[in-house]
Amino acid sequence: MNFSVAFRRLGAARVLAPEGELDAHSAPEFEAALQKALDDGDTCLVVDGSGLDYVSSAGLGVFMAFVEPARDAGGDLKVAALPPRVFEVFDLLGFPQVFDVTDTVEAAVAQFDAATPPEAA
Amino acid sequence: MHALAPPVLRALSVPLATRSRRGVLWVLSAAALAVLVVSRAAFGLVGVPPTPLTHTALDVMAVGGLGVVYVLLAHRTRELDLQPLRSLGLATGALLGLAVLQLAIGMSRTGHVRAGTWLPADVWTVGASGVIGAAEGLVAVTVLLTLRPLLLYQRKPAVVIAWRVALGAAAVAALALAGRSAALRAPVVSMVFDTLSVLAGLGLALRQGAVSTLDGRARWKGVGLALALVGAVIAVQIVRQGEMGSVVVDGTGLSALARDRIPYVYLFCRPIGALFSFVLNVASVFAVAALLALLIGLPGAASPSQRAGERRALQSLADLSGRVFDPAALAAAIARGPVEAGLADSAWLALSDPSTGSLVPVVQAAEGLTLEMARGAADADALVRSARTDGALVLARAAADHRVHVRPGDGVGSLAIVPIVAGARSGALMAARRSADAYEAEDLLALETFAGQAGLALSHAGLFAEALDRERLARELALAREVQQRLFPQSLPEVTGLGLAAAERPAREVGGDYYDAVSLGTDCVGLLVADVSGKGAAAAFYMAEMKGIVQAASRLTRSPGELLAQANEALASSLGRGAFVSAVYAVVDAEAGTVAVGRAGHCPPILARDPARPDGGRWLLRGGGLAIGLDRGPRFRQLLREQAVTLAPGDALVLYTDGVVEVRDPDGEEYGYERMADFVAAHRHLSALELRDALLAEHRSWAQGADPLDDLTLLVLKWDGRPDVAVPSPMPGPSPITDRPAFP
Repeated sequence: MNFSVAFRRLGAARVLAPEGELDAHSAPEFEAALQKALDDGDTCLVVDGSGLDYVSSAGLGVFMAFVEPARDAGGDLKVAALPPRVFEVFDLLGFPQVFDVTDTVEAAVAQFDAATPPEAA
Repeated sequence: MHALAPPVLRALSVPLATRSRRGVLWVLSAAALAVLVVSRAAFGLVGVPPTPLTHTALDVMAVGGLGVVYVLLAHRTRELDLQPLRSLGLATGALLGLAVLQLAIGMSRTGHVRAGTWLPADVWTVGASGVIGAAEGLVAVTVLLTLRPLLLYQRKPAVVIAWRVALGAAAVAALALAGRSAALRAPVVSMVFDTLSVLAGLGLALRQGAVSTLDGRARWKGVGLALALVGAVIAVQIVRQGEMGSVVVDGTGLSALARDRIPYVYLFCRPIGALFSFVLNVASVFAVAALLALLIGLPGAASPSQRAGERRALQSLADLSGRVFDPAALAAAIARGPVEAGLADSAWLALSDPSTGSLVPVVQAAEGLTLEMARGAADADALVRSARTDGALVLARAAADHRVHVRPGDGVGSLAIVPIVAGARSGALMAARRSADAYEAEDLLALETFAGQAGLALSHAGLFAEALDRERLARELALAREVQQRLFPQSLPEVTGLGLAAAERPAREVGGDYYDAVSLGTDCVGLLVADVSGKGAAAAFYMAEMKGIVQAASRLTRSPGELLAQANEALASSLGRGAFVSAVYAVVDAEAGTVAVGRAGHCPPILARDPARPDGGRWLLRGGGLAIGLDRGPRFRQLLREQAVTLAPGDALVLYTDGVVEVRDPDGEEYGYERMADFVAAHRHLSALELRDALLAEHRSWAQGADPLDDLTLLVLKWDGRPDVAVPSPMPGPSPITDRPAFP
């Protein structure tokens, strides 16, 4: 029942790294973490899924619920580095066909960096 | 007047603010008294009366000097913490000392005063009047200061006003006598103010709240001291009015004056004599009232309302337990309690609510001030933290505390903070009185008792709410379960050549699994297995909607893709944020021996065929498609694919939910798709019912008795072929499955 979310910043993106099982019990915590990132003004979000052991439908719902607000705010929510078994769950739902799912965190961040014009020095 | 008082008092307190300023004041007041003593002696010795102006100036200086001494000593006694017994003892001692002094002087010699000039007739009288006059002035101040904590007990605003009126009127009455010689009658102004001061003083003297708190041995000590005070007052009066304490008037033609003796103090300073009389009056009434209060439990003037207040507090406590069903009303009743009981002019309740994820106490209810004012009045968090570690806390001067954000006159003069603990919630009851220094130890005790009861009521309310929530949840779940049960088909369609079997088993709560089997004419059936994200009533609601869509759309179309697309469009508006439905829909045509499958983000159905056939094997029918609700635009249709299968006799098709494949063994190993497909392939020869039971047994044995985490739903189809349907010749390719976009 251990679940935690770590934050870090990489390029233009805020990276959230959930660890453990993302199910109905831990979903509210993950939701709060994403909401905090949005509240902080971060709209380019990458979820580093490498620490996820399991994602239930409640957990998938959290991803779905935050893609739209992130996009509405001019950013996006990308999912990266999912372990094969977890990727399978995303894949069955058709998630990668609607949302950006990348192999590595760096790839997701690179997509953001490419989309964000570098600020004038 | 009340509104004006704080600024005036603040202005007055400026000179007292530092030690050096207080030192200067001490010197000034001592100098004033010394000047008075020396000059009175000089006039007496020389035998020339002072001019009226000088006389008046000296008297005003004397009253002013005593006033400053009073203020300076009042500043000191605040730190002394005078208990009722000590107050009584000090007052008694001061008065007895004065009586002894006067007696000693009176017994030594008789003083004389010259009529007309009203100056002492000899050096002895000069000295005696100076000593007695100064002593009376200082004793008056001492007695006032020692009785002050008793008279001002609990410092209700009206009491503070009465005290200020008494002192002010006494000062005016005394000043109106300034410059008057000993023989003249007091002017009307003086008499009026004297009456006013004595009335106000008597009103205060009748308050016996402080003394009536004494009990046990202290009570008997109190009786003794009150008796001693009565005795001391009587002694002083007797000495002062009698021959010992007065001087003989020498001279003639004074019959109109109607007195031949006057008190010593009048030779020194008549206003001081008036002030002393005022103090003596108040002290005597206080002493008698205290004696009666202690002896026969006579309720003091303040007590009846206080007792009634305590009764009301008890009543509101009883009220509290009746309000556990309504948290808001309970909080309001708790804030109201101290105010109704006379323990506060305003009160508020600040409590944390950990269920909101915050431990910071928030003001829940306020009485005597608005909720906003209560929230702004003090830093509840800091005060509660301090009260939690050190116990109940009294800020005698609330405005001076950095955690309190009020100004004098805002109605929060003193503030008591009493911690409250109620289960996981904690906080404090804040009780405020308008005056500073208004909380006594027993007030705090009463507040703590009340807070203890309030905490109990609050935790009962919490338990009750929890029980209510549990019951509500249980009822909601039971209802949702019932709805879910009714949504499942009561019987499966019967079609020649087709074997159908279904199983559903929700996990602990109402699950999000749903299946349906609809008859489409005599030879066709539509089979649906879906998983609604979430559980409980919301899931049951989506299921009901899904059922309606399947029942309606299955009559209109035989295309699985079309039905799923319609479900996506119909549910788009009702699915909440983050909610989705994965579904697989299969249309089986027993006459044609075909099945068409559409998969919207759901677990791929398993198809198993005799491996001995050239087109035999087992497959996971993945196809392609988004879960319902993932995209509400055209992409759902664009990405949805259909798979068509030409059935062979003995084919088994299993539709299921993730609960079946995600079950774990005690080592955490997931059952998984491949293992399940192999199991179906190995048991494809069984009938639909037998295969279903075998799958359930397999599931149970994999879990090895562990509590299933997810719901489980199985829909098993077995096609045995029909005599009227030609057995299709084995397909040339390895797969009997054709895959195509649902909406090309």
